[in-house]
Amino acid sequence: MPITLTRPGRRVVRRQATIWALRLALLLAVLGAWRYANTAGEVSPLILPQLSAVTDSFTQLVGSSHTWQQAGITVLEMLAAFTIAAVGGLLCGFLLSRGPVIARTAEPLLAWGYMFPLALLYPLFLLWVGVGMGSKIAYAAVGAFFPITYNTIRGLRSVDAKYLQVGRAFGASSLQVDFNIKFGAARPMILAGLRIGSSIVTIFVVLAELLGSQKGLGHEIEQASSRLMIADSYATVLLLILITIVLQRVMERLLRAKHE
Amino acid sequence: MSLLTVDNLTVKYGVDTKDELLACHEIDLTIEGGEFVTIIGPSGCGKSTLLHTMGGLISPTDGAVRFDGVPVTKPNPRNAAFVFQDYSLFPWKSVEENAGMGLRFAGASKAEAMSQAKTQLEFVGLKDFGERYPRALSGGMQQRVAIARALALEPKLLLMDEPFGALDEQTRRNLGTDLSRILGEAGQAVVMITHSLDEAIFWADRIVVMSARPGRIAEEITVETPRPRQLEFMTTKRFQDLRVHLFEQLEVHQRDAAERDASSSAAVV
Repeated sequence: MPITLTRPGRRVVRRQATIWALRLALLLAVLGAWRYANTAGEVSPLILPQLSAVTDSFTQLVGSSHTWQQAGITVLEMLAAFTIAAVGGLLCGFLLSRGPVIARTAEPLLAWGYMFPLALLYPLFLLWVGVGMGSKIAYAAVGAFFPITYNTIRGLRSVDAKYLQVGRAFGASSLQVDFNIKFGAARPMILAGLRIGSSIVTIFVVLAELLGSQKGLGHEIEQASSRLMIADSYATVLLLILITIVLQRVMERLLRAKHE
Repeated sequence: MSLLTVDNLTVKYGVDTKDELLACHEIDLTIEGGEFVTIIGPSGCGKSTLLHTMGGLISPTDGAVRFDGVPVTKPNPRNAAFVFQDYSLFPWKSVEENAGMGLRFAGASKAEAMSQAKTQLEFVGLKDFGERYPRALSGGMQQRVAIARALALEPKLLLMDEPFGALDEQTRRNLGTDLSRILGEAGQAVVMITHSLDEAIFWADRIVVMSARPGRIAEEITVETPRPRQLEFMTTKRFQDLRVHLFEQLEVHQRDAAERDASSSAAVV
């Protein structure tokens, strides 16, 4: 049977086409403005390097094994930090949610931990863990730990009483109440915490590499900028953006609830 | 021996606080095996409290509930299984998982729960919806799933708390006629709370009328017409007479409650 688009289907396709056309137009406008700034605008190449210089530098970067080594380190730091924060946050959130007193005590502390500008503490992390990968992982893991734990507690403690009543009425064990009811009901909130945590991890790792490190893409950007190799700096930023987009996409795919 | 006996039951909320509330007062009631009993009464008269106490979700302040002669201290879904007003399906579980969840909670293996879930879903007419999630189902279909979840335990008694309360008139009627077949075949005793006079009469072997708070049993009416009944039963004189009688009774109890509330609040001022 031939597949035919229904009316709303066609409209959706047309709208999608418009959106992509507009995105392309926006990109071209940005590139056009860049080109104008390089030529007639006479903007200093120290602020805005030639577009061609950046693309040249980017092709060079992508072709070099050194770049991928650095990128590998950065990605590894991100994944390690996220794993630690997720495991620690879920476990702590679960344990803290079990008593009303302890949960009420912990909630504001965790909220403050989330809002506190942790960057201020980064020098201490360097002192404690050293300039290697450890300090980046520890710093990003701590940053992501707070929203993950906080959302886990809130999710587990705000389960609708009607679901718990079903558990009681059918004689659920406390293990079943935890895993079949509470974690199920709290899942959207916990996933939201994990999503926040994953974006915090990407930001914190790069920030930490910029602030003090000997490896990683953040370090490469810092090096290029301090040597006034602005085109290299731009190219590395571009690569970093592409990598984080891919990582975020994968995370979002993994962290989507089935019934949402 | 009766299936379930409620003996001189009193339930108070917030005992020894200033908000102490007498929900049920000295209630005596028996339910026989296979019998269909409907409970009707003004809002807030303690109907739900009575039902929840019968199933062991609430402990009596005084008096006792016995199932097959044994005092009920906590819910035992294999004796008496609940169907709640708001369906209470888990939105994060599929329809089939939901239908099997009661059995899982009651300690059955996953395989047993799943095969019973399939059987019961077919029984309530939802064979093809097992893979769906509750959100994709209409209110009437969700309530069928909740009924399947309860029937999966093959309980001797179903406790239904306004199972059709959230449904529109047409859906209620369709589900109602279907359900009389389903419950007729399953052979359980049923205690059902309802706000609808038609439902209270149409379903019941016996109608329990409760007075306004504190909840007491004001009257018990036996409906002799054999079940399952056809919709035509609703056009008979007996049905109409019962309906008028129930309507008047509820009016009286409602007015009593309103007057008492008015005088008690006047006394406070």
